[in-house]
Amino acid sequence: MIMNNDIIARYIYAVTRYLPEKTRADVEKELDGLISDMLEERCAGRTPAEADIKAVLTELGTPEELAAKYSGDENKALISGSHLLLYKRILKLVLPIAAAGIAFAGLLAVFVEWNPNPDTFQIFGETFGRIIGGAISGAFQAFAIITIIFAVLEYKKVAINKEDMFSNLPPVPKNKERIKIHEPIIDIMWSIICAILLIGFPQVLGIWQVGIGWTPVFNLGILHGFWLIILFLTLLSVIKNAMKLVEGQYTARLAIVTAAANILIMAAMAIVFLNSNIINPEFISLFDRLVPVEDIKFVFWPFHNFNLFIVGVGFFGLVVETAVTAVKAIRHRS
Amino acid sequence: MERDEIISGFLLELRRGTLILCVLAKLGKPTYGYNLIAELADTGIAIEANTLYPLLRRLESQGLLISSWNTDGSKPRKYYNTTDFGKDVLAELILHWQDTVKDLNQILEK
Repeated sequence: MIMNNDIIARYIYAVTRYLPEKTRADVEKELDGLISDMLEERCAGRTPAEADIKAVLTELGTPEELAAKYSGDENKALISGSHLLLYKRILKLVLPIAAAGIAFAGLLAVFVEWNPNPDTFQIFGETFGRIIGGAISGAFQAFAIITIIFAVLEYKKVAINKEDMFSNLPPVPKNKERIKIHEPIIDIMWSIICAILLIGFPQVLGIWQVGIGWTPVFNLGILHGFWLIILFLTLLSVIKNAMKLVEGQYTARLAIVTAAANILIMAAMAIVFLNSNIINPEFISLFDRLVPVEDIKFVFWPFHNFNLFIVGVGFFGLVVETAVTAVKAIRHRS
Repeated sequence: MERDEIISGFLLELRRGTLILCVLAKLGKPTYGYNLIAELADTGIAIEANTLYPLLRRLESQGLLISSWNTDGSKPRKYYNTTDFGKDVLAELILHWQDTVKDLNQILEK
């Protein structure tokens, strides 16, 4: 059991350990006197019992509460007020980008270590895990760095946006044209997953048949020769979507970046997929074997010219996206 | 219940600023913390020790109060006294307080 005087000493120590070194001794003496005064008043002559001490200390509050009162209002929070608002906004923008960036770096590492003949599915799992893990740790690092910067800004009481307030006022987005934050993030994830599959594990993209196994869509050797272009394509897509995250609305700048990125993406796609050798011949003949009826062969045109099919679908999507972004940006302006 | 909570919250805010006035005025003569609580309580102003003690310390760090330990009695006590600067600040605060009361009364009596 703790002795009565011990409770008081422990309580005072629990308070003063939170306070600056130079005020500790003084606060200690002061609290000692205060508690003794309070006990005297409460007990009016008799010796204080443990219950009296506990009642008096309870009245003073928990050591943390009392220490907080002694510490004053200065720098009560790590990040507060207008700093906190900006902090949350920046986190929302930067964390997805940091995660995508590190995932992309992880993707690069896959090609450096590329081995054409591994146990595909096991490696696929490992790579996927490594990239997701990298994305999470990248987001955590960005979180830590941003938090430290803002904590310092708060501590130093740096004012945000004080000079030139009026030219920094953002344009009012029209509600319909606001970009939802999850859309670019999903797009970034998709392009990274596509890149992983195309460069690292193209064997997985194919058709599986009982007794035969996988027939890959692509001619693996040729496809792998294009890894640098595919990587470039993915990077363009990540940049484009990161820009969407940063802008948050359909601005002229975003329309220009999107158009430029999409033109480059189309050029890259043309280089890779206009070459019909890119498709595995077995994949094409598979359909002839599956459906030997001549009359409905036209239905399988997309499969016979699978590379052109990919280019067609890709170009269509990119042109539509470019046009929609441009139209929204023009409407946004007026 | 909720009504009482709202009112006590407002009261707390109303009194927070005026406590500084009370303390500066009362400490024209040297007094120690616990005695000041008793004196204020006698005039109907309730303040808890865990609010007053840190407040005294803050006012001292701002130069409005000065303190000294008195060890003559049975136990050492820290006496606080308003400084000249504190008296100067108090004089101006009193003017502002009176203006505020006048302005508020004009609004509230209508």
